[in-house]
Amino acid sequence: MSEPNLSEEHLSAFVDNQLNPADRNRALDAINRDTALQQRVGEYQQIKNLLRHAYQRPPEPLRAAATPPSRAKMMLAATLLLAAGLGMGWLLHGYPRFGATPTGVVIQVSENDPEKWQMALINARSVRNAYGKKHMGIEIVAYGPGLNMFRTGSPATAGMDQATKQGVKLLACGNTMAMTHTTRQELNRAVDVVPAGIVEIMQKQKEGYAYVRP
Amino acid sequence: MAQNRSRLYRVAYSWCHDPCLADDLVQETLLKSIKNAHQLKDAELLLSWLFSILANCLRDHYRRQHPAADIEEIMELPAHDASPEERRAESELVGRVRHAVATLPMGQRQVITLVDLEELSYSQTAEALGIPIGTVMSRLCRARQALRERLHETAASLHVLNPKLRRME
Repeated sequence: MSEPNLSEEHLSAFVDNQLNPADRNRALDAINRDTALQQRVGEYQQIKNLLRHAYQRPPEPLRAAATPPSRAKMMLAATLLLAAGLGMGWLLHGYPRFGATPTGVVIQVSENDPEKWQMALINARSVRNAYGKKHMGIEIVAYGPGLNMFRTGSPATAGMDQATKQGVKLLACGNTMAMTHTTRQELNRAVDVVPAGIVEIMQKQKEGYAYVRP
Repeated sequence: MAQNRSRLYRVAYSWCHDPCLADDLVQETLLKSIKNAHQLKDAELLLSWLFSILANCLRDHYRRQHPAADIEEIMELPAHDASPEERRAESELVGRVRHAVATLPMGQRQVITLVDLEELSYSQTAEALGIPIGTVMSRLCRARQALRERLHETAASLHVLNPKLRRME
């Protein structure tokens, strides 16, 4: 072990942000002194990113048309009907209630994935078509790896100008920009910057916006 | 519920790498969650509670398949076999990562997917899987070391996915 003061467990916990502040500072000191540990932290973060990428879209089961639905599925359908009849709404907690129109929609883009981005734009357009921009605020907030979608020259650039003309706000996370040393000039000009993407999303939800993560 | 379903399905698939089995496990989980809704006292705990039901459904599946075997031993067994779907996709990045995950013992696979995919805290992961936090940490370390070795070359291609996020704060 190249760094006796920092166990493998602590190194993992550092990557997962699971250390208390004192241990985190100690870990940071050790990591700053040791290039092997820096490399290990980078590798663990890469593994995290690879895993997220690998399971972004797991394949859906392909059941032959003749295959009957599983017993569990049939029971689930029956139970859901019953639950709906009894008014048991806890599983739907946090979802928009029927009849109550949200004041807007905030769409999260946190993955560097052009297809997800396209889906976000389609969602925004569908909401605008259904409600009209006067009645509905529409925001797309990008942070983490999703920020790459906002870069000048990214494959996502095509629909951006049109989206902003239609009243969709495109918001980049200032924290992610700082962490990745991204300047405003590197982002598409249609994009505005908010201090923290996640806080913007939470704030909008508090204001009655529906939250969508395509 | 649709969002919970897709999160459950993603995790179930990352555990078993079999779309049909994953789908069955998720249906069973949702069914049990509705039946036992009264057990959930705190809505904040919904997600780790759902994952704990999913983990139990997987154990039940193993019990049905291997009635005489010790489930705890099964969870620690190294997994050698990848599904046909995994082998087909092995040449691609996604396939290589899924294959590397599929070769981890189930106990390690469950911990690393809940922490890395679902961003559960260590205590939520411990709660969901019914194991001590120390076990979460040791399994996580072993899983990461194994993946680090198996994905050494694959990780080098990560800059394609995420060129700017390699710096730590």
